[in-house]
Amino acid sequence: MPQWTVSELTWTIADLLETEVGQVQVVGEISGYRPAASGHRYFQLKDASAQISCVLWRDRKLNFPPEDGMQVLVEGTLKVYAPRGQYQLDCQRLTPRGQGDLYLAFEILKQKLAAAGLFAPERKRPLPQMPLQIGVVTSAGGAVIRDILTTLERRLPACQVHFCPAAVQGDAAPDEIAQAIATLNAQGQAEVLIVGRGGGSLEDLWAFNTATVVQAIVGSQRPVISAVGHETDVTLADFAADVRAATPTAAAELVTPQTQADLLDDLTQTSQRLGRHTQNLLRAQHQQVERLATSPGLRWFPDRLRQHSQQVDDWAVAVERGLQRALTTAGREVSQRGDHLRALHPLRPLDQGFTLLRRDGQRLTPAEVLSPGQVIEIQRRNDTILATVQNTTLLP
Amino acid sequence: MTFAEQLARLEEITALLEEGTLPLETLLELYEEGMGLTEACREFLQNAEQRVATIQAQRQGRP
Repeated sequence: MPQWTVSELTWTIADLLETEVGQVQVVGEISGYRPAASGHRYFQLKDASAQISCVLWRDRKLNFPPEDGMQVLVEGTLKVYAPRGQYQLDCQRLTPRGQGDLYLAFEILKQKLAAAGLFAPERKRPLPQMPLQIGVVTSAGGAVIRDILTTLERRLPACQVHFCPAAVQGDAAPDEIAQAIATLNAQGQAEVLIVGRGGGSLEDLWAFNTATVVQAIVGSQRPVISAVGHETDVTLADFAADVRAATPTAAAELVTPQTQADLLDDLTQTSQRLGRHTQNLLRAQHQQVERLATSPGLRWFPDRLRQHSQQVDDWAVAVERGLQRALTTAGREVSQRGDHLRALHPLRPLDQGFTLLRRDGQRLTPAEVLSPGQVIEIQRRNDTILATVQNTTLLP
Repeated sequence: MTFAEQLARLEEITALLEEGTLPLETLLELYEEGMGLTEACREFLQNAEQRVATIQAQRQGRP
């Protein structure tokens, strides 16, 4: 019998196991699960009578949080860990086995992410009012993208869709979905994102229950509408999204609250109102101008002027009349004075036949007595008579 | 002067004319200015109404 070293024996065993057994799929219960500081995960996979050590290297994907007691399906390769003389399962993939375990995983992750505040209502962002650039993350060529495009085309033909396809189930799905969300954000054109997929089982929808997708949705700078599965399907992506839509069509409707047709109607009405309003305004201004144009101030001014000139005419007449009157009065007075003067002339009585008597050139006063033989002058109108007194008689 | 300014000046003038306490020479000048303004305002409004009618007629052609 050949004598081997321990290493030689171990390498033979390793070789044998890896060749004869190699890749396996094993079902079992997780036990003693512990992530190491390095990031590698170590656990036991057991059933009622046996157990086997497992390692899931840190670079291998883990789409749910494993818990002791969980039934899982492990896909891996049997390997030998020489330093300890142990055989172990080098895991490529871990999947919760059966619905019950999937639901358990769902609940665990939901609580963990909720506790981290990722689902908090304060985080929810409002959707843009009228986005014209809409991002969509879903599988290429499926009913989802078709429904979304049809609905958007109908409601808002002017909008532009930025489609970033991604696998929506399978191992690669969470990363692809997260990457698509990141890409649409980085391109900076989409104003809002619709992330979703069609209906399916919990396993089919599982990518939307992973921390990867939840964090990508929460980390998106643009608001995200989730449209995963049917009305009754709820995934963690729905909790993380800013708005949840029951179906892809509903998501497209949420993104276009006002259809292009509605907006055109609004515009037509607005332009009609504008026309009417402008006409009313002009009419009102017109009325105001007319009111001012026919206001007393302007309307009566020509009459006022005429009144002024009529007044001037009246004054002219009055002045003339006054002048006339004054002249007539003055004239009358002058003649009156003249008449008066003439009446007072001392020689006037002579015209009437009375005479003026003088003696020695002096006028005879009425009291003077004459003696016979005196010579007097008798002045008449046209001549003067020299006479001698013959006799005088005193009147009784 | 904008249309609004012209209208305001027109109101001012009619008020002054109605008050009638200013000297007649001033009133006469105001009267002249006022008549000029009413003419200008009427013309402006007529032009504006014409433009609105034209714009609306142009729009009738489009849906």
